[in-house]
Amino acid sequence: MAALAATAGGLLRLRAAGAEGQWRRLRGAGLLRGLLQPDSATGVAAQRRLVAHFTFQPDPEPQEYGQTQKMNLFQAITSALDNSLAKDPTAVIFGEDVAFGGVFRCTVGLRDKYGKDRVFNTPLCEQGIVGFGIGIAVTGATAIAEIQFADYIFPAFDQIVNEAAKYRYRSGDLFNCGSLTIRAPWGCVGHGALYHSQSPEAFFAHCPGIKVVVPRSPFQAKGLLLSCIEDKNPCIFFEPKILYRAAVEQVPVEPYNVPLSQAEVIQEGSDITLVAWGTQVHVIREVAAMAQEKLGVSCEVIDLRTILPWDVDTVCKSVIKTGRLLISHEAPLTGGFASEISSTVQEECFLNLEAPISRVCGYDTPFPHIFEPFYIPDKWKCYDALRKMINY
Amino acid sequence: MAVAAAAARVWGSSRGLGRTGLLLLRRPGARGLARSLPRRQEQQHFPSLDDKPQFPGASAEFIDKLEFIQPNVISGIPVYRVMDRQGQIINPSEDPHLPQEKVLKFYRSMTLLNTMDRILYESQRQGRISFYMTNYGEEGTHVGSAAALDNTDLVFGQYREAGVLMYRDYPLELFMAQCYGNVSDLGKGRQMPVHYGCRERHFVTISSPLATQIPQAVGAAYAAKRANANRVVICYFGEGAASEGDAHAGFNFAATLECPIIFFCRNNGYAISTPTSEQYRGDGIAARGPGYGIMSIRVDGNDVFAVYNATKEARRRAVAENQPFLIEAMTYRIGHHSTSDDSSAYRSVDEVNYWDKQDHPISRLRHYLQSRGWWDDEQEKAWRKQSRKKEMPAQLRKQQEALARHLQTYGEHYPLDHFEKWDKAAVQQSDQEAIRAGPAQ
Repeated sequence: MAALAATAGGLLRLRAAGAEGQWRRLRGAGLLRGLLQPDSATGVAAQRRLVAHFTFQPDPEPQEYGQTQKMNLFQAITSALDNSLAKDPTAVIFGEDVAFGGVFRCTVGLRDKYGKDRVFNTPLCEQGIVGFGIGIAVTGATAIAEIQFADYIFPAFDQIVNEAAKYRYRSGDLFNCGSLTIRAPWGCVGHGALYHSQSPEAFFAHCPGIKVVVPRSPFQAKGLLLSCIEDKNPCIFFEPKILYRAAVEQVPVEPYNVPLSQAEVIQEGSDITLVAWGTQVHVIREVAAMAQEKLGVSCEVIDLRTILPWDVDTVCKSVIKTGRLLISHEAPLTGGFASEISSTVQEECFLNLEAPISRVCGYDTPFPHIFEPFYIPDKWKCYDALRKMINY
Repeated sequence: MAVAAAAARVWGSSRGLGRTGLLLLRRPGARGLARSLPRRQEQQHFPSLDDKPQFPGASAEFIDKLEFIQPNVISGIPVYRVMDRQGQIINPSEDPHLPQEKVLKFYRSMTLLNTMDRILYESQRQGRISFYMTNYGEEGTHVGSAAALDNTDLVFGQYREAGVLMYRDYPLELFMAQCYGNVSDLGKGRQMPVHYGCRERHFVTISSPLATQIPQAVGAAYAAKRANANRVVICYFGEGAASEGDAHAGFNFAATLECPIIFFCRNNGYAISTPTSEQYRGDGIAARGPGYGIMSIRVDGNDVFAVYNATKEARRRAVAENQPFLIEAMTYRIGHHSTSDDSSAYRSVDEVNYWDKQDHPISRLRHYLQSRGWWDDEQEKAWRKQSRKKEMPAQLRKQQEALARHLQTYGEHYPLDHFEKWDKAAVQQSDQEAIRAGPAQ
């Protein structure tokens, strides 16, 4: 950690020494702040806030599910929720501000269509939202709870980990809350800072009894969310908020399922396996293209899709083929889900590995505001790690 | 208090009227108002009405005197009771006039629970089970409330409500199976003792984290409302658990989402070693209800009829009106918190003895029964004998059977001639029958 800071600091100090004096170094004020201080006097280093670190790559229009419609991610979510409420009369949606349509518009129109007893606001209390949802599910009705930002899921941690995850086990299957699904916006958004950018999947990966799912696109989101809602276990569905508007593709209007606990190989390759989930899938897709173009390296790109229980077989099969694995996520490095994947893969595929497994992740700090472009595991960091692995 | 009363007089109940009133105010040309008022006040544009606060957040009057509302803990919410400490009905119009069999069922449930508690506590001390929690002193809160519910009303408990299950005829065998974690445990031996659950009897499995059941019970009540089930959900918790955030969450959700739920707080004076003076500074838990907009009452938890009456009425209205009710049953935890606790470390034996001897739900009910001629000392003796017999732990019965088999082979080495013949089959059969019949005889 100190070494990392020193190296990074060293690199940036070198650059600053040679540059036009745009950056100043502050002493003893934390890793990123210590290295960089945007100079407000010049306008040259003005941040380009509207440029995303990825390009959304839509999948080809699906043919097998009937009529499709152009939808962005939040519209695909609405469509899934609409389908659910239509076919399951016990299903209800609740959370903060869902009645008027939700702060991300995921529930627009549903209250008018299905009634105020089925789509309703709750008081501002995440532990209450999840506890209440568990209670609904205990009676057998379908509960779809919304937590406004994944960053605010922590007050509900006890209800999720100690109650929902353990309901069936501790009662000897007398009771369960399998018909509970919790949805929450997730991941970086360009300006979210500490409390609107978090990716907390690792906290929940450590909890037997729940499922954790992260989609990369509108088509995936609708199918995975429907699977979560229908799954007989409590599920947490994290929705990459930066994709709500940015991701647009053709999505079937009718309900369909994308299976849980199945990773998807979205591009086949032979030299290195790249694994990610959510927004980061689009980053590594681009890295794969860069690697092919600049290095002639053929990458196998895998979208993990379900974090818990995760598809060990697909990832291991790929690593056995390629011999190299790079995992990338926005969440901080230490204890992030890449560590679980890395550990399992080295157990299962040790003799197939040509290089140490690489994890390109967020730093072990809270998610910063102005320094987001430096914090996130962007394509350059992934490309650099890939290059090192190829040359190992 | 005076402000609130004045406001109530002007606006009526806070629910709904305030907003309607404001709507009328905003449109002075609205039919109702324009016609009913004389011309002079119309010209003045209703000055007194203009002076009312228009804030969406509260329905109240203005006041121009700085005055803090004093929390009233010296003479708090009164404690509703039906019987005095000697089991005599105080106000005959409050006597529920329950039939003899029902009241006898109350008595048998409470005493059987008490007996089971003694035996299982001892079992823990003997190393047969790992842990136990007794219900001493609180039997009235369990049985009085359970008796006022329908059998299909869903129960969410905390951990000191075994009497509710007892009243619903949960077999002693299954209580014990859960405590022993043996193959008969429906919970499959996964949890510590006293974490009972029974789907058939609508008693949700107990979990250790405190107060987590409160918002869950609210969700279940909401689902019951949507399903038009005509069921209430009852949620039990102690005064300590009421400090948890989940309690606040549950109360607020129940009120805003209009759920048919009874919140039943067993205020027994202690949360392990923490007395109520260190748990809260307000007037108990009942006083919190109105803060959430919840109908609330405080009852004498050691008076099984008071508990019954309050729960019965709360149930009727919760289902009919889709609103929550809060019952704070005042009682006293006579036993230790659990087998891991020795309460002499934080309270005096004299205090415990007072409640055990002077104000115990079982004694008070027994006095009532005896004064009605429905019970006497003979029946008491016979019942005690019978209930202890039901309780024989599985371990001992196995050993008894093993001895019988042993004697069949090696009987010649024992002084069997000095004993009456033991008809094993007959005794076993009567034991099984007694267990299956349950406490309700």
